[in-house]
Amino acid sequence: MRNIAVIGFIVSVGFVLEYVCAELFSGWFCPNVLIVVVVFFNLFRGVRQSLVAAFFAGLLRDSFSPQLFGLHIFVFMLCAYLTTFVKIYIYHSGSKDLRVLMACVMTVLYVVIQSLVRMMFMDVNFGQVIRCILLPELISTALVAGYVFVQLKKCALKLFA
Amino acid sequence: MSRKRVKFIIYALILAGAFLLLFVPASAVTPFKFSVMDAISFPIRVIVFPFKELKKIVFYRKTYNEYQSLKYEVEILRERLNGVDEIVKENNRFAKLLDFKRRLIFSSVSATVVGRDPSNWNSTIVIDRGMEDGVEVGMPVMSALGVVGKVAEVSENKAKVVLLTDPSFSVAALVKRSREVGLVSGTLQSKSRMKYLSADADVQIGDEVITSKLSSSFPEGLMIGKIIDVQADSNSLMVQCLIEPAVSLSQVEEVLIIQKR
Repeated sequence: MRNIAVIGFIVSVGFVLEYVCAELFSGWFCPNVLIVVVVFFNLFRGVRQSLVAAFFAGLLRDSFSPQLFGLHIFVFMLCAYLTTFVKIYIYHSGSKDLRVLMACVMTVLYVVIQSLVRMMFMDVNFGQVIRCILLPELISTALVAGYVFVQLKKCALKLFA
Repeated sequence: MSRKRVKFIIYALILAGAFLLLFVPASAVTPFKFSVMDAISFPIRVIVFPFKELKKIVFYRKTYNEYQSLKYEVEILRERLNGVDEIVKENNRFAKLLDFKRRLIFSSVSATVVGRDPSNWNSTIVIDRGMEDGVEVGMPVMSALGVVGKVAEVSENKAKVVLLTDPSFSVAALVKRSREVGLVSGTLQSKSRMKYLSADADVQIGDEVITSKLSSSFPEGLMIGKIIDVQADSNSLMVQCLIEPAVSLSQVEEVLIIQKR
C-alpha cells in the first residue's frame, strides 16, 4: 500500500512538472515526463510497479482531457508493458545514455500507439501528429530525460527506503 | 501451465481491462474525472501561480502594447457609439410606434479559467462554473475578442471547454467580406482550419471569419479569427484556410458562457 502511495506521489509530481511546462512554454517545449516516470519504474522497480505508475499517469491525463476516458490509461499501461521487451534490446548495458534512448523510444511508441487508438474513434492527421506532437515531445523529452532519471532515482531511494 | 505463461495471461487481462475502459460511457465517468481533477488542481494552482506571474512580467511589453492598442480601439468605438446613440433612440421610437416586442435572445455567465489540459493532443481549459450556474454541454464560450470554444463536460461547479483550436471542435462559419460559408475546426498546431470552401471561393489572407447563422450552438456574427493562409488542393474541388484565432487562447483567463434562453 505504501508503495502504491509513493508511486502515486511521484507520478503526481511528474504531472505537475508537465503542467508547469505547458503553462510556461505552451506547446513547443512539452517533455513527456510521465513516460519517463513509467520507464524509470520499469527499469528500476519492475513491470508491476511500472504498470501502477502507468495507471496513475493515464488517470491524471484522462481526467484533464475531455475525450475518451481510458485512452491515456491504456496507452501508458501498454507502454509500461512494452518497455519490458524494448529494454532487452536497448538497455543491456544499463548506461545513462541508454536510459535516455529508452525514454525516447517509448515516447515514439507512446505517440504512435495513441494515434492508432485515436484512429478507432476519430480522424487523425498523421502529418500534424508528427510535426506538432511527436517532434516537440521527442526533442524535449530527450533533453530532460537524463536529469529526470537522476532525480527520480534520488527520490525513489529516499521514499522506498 | 508455466509461471511465465500465467504472468503473461495476467498482464494481458490487465491490458484488456484498460482497453475496455475506452468503451465506458462518458457520462458515467464524468463525476469521477472531475473529482480526480479537483484533487490535483489545488497543488497545481499553488505551484503554477509564481510561474504564471513570472510569465506576465516577462511578457509585460506584449501586454502593454496590447493594452495601448485596445485603449485606442476603445476611444474609436466610444466616438462611434456617440453617433449610434442617436440612431438607437430613433429606433426605439419607431419600435414603440410599431409596438415591436424586444426580446433578449441570449444571456451569459462569466467564468474564470482554473486549469488547462497540459497534453498537446487536446486544447482544453477548465472553468469555475458548472451545472449549479446553469452551464450545459455544448454551450458556446467566448471572450471580449471572440469565440473561445464550446463546453464539453460539466460537473456541479466546474466545466471543461474544448477550445477553438482543438481537433474535435467545429462550428459553421463565414468569411465576413465575401460571405463564403464553411466549417471551422481545430488542428493540432494551435490554429483553426476553415474547410469545405469551393475552389473558386473568394477568400484572401487577412479576411475575418465569423460564426454563421447555420451554426446550431453559436449565435451568428461572433469573431473567430483572421485567415493567415489559403491552401488549394490540386486533387480536390475545395480550398482550406488556416485561421489565427482572434483570442489568444493560451493566455485567456476570463470567459463568458452564452446561455440560450
